[in-house]
Amino acid sequence: MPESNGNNCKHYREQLIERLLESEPAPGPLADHLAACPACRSFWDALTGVQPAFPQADLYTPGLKYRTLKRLAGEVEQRDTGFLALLIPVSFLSLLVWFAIPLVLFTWLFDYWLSRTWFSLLLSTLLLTTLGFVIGSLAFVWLIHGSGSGGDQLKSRIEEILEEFHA
Amino acid sequence: MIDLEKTPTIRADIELIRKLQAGDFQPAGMLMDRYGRDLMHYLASILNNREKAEDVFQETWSRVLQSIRRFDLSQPFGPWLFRIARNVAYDQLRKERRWRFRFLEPREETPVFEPSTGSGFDRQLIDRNLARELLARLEPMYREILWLRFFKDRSYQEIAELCHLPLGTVKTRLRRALERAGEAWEEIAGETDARK
Repeated sequence: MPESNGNNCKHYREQLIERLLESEPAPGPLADHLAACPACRSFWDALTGVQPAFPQADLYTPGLKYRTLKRLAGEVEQRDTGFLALLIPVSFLSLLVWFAIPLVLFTWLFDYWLSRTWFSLLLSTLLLTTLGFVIGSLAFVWLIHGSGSGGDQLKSRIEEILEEFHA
Repeated sequence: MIDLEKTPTIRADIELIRKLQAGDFQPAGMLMDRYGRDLMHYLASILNNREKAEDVFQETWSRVLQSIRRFDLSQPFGPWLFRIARNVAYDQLRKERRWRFRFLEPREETPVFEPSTGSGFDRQLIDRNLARELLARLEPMYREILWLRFFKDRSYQEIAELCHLPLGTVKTRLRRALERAGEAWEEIAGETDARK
């Protein structure tokens, strides 16, 4: 490697970095120094050589695409199976939380007031199913009209399904 | 070549993304064809290793599929994809660093890039091997910023948006990257002299 001249070269190298940052050609004295100093010329060549050292060959190959799609297919399959496996406990839990427990509580409450167990059970069931239907409807309306892009997507999906159905 | 920041999500992309959002993963292949080349170069610039870049590429598309429902169709797809890739790549580097620290393994990077096939950049006085070795000695964040600025010709503003950095930090980091490249060059020069 060529020898450098210490501080003088350091000063010029700082200027070279500055030129590179500004994407400007080297002015007269700097260009003269580059012509005279092999060490700084080599330094400059190394810095400007960084650009072509980056890969230019196509690293994205059909093999990579195939492997990636295969992996995605596996994940989608796993997600679907996982979803089914989760469906049963989640449904059970949701039924318990949103229906069974409130049903027991309301029946107990009505029974306390009315002292008629079967009637209380019927009343509680009616109340909870009505409540569930109202909350569900409100949530659906909110999802379509009030929740930004998610709602728009759902809306457009519903429109698509309706179009397909009509077709 | 795709202009990451300036290209809005084009109509064709929107259709593909809609299908992905509906749960069909097949359109991912077409999006991959569109962005894959640039994405692999970007990942290779950060990771400096083709195999690792391929792993991160796969993980990136997996994450894309996981979060595609949250993608806002009014935004361009490219920067969103590259930001995910960037996060995955840096996560990977962090994991490797922890692993290396735990088991005190010596740092060993396998070489980087294949010999370049293009001749358009073959300019005067460039020692490619030296430049490649120099790149290998740089920290990933410096390689990344050099790639974006000097290879992809991105503006400071575009780099700031992609990397989620303030504009001032981009300039400072780029300067530091060049200074570090200069230091690495001196290290290499010293080692070459010592071998003689």
